[in-house]
Amino acid sequence: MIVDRPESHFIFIFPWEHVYRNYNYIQFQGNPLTNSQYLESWGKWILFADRNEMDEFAKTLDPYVENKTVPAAKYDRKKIDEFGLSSCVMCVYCHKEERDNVWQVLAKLGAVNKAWIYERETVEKWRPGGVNLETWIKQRGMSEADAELARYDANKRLGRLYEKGEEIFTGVEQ
Amino acid sequence: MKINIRINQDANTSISGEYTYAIPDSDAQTLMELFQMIEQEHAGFCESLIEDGAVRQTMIVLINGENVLYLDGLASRIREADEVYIIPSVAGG
Repeated sequence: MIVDRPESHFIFIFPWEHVYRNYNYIQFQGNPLTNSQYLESWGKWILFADRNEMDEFAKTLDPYVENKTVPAAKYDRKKIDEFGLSSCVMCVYCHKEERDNVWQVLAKLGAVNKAWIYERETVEKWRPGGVNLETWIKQRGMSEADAELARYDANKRLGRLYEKGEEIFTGVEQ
Repeated sequence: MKINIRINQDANTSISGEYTYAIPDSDAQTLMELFQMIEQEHAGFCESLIEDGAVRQTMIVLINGENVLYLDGLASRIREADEVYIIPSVAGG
């Protein structure tokens, strides 16, 4: 189902069971992933398009999420000004062992350009010193105090993935 | 052999769009050699994409969907009909 909460930057496509029955879609062959497994094995296909195209694509993708062929997806509500992107981005999530099957679905729906990104890559870019976090801080014109707070917050949210690698992954606040 | 390269318009390289390059058949062709070929037509391309001998942190270069960081970086081999795709690294957060 498409989860569109105005307070979130992202619009999500989750299985109905995830939203209403706590179904954990971050899994492989029925087993939830630990933080270490999440960083090593979970990732996403990245698609670029404008918001209207994303909305239409989401509608066609939703049935595949509902039948669990595709675990989940999210896309930008609007372009991210801080990064100067001229289009919205959709992330279509899955385990690396299932990415070819998921890509087949995406290609059938019209996706052309293949770009697979592991969650580890993204997490590291959003940790203190990472290119995404530092770019975001710079583009927002933050004071050094606010920048340090942002770095502290990022480390607090993401550091656990590395420090508690054996724990079951329970998500990252977005 | 023919190699297709697509460069996302937000990748901050000196060019963007879709290009097809015909390069001599050889098992030794690498991504860097392809980029040097592009550089001959579009001066500044390599500098906009490469820093200290590697892909800039702000970019992601993929061959057939796989980040070249997990292949051999700029030394990754390219083959007939490979798809090279360059995107901004900020995508996908």
